[in-house]
Amino acid sequence: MSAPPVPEELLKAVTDDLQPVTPLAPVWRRTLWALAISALVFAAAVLGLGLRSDIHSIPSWLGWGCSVVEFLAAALLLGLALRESIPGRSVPLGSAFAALGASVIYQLAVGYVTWRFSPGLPWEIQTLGQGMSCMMSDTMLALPTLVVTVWLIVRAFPTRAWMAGLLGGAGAAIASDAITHLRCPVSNLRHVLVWHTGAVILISATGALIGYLWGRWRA
Amino acid sequence: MTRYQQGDTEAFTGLYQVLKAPLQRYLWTFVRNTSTAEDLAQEAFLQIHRARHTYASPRPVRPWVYAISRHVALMHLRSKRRRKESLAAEDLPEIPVPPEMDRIGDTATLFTLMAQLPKAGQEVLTLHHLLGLSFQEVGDILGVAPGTAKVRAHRALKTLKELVTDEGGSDVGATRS
Repeated sequence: MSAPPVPEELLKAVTDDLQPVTPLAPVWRRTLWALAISALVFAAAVLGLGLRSDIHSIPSWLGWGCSVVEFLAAALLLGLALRESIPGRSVPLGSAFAALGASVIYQLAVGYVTWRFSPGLPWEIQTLGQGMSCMMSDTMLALPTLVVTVWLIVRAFPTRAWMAGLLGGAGAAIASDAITHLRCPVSNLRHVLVWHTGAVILISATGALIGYLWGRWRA
Repeated sequence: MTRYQQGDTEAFTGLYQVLKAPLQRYLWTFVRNTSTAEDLAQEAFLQIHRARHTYASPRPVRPWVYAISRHVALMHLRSKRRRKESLAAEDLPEIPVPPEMDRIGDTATLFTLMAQLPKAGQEVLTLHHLLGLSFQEVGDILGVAPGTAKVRAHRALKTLKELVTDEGGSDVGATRS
């Protein structure tokens, strides 16, 4: 059987745009770029905005240690997002949702254990405005990482853009929560669940929505 | 593929000639129409061209190519649903079948019976048994664990053999697993 000739129309479209291209950097290196932004935001927030007032009441493994572990969980999620953006390297759905679920459970568990060591400010004095302020702060801290991650995703060719966006959004949100853990003085589980887990879900959903809309626009 | 990324037209032509038939065979499982599969193959090559910077040597080329093609097929089906168009009449593609699948039945029977399988099973069967991709590669394309791909292929193959038996097929031979 002779080799099929390339249709003229296709060949013309390809040859008109046959510039040499530089292959994308490996996933781990692109993850480091996103993490570098996260680390900068982390450092700026800790140095510029200060730490929670009861930071000395909680052991360092629970304060700094858990924040670092949460930051590593964010790195994993960002890595999965950037892997998902490469055709033929899709993340199995089970693994993706396991990573998302484990990150949220970890965040809640850290909130609970922190509350056992130091109740911080009581829930009762928390107003809606203060809770909203926490959520807004989480969102603003996540924004730079989210923007860079989305840019890295769309520069590739995600076949499930919503999934890449969801993982990228979750990574940015968990990285932001690692900072919040050191800053927010309210350890009450209701506060953590409503405002901080709420922020994680909101930012993740925003990432998924951006991915979905971008995927529709590209199609 | 690396030469293609460096701007070599002949490398693209070579890629096209090697991949066109298997790609069309794979796309046919989505649309069940030879001419539509051919159109989609052209579109897939255009998308492959646009996404060529995302291929990283020395990773295998085929999972990357099939993942892009799958995306093209799913986009096509989605837009078709939006337009509420009906599928064209079934039309069997004239493409070769590997010996291990050929043992199950003749090509026409095989493709007709495969069309009765659930979509997920058809896709895994095509990628693994017809196109020779490993379960790891199939999982990477579909976004499922390799074990899930293997289970889907096993179930689809079992159903296919039952269908062949019901149709009066005789030699249900051994196949790759």
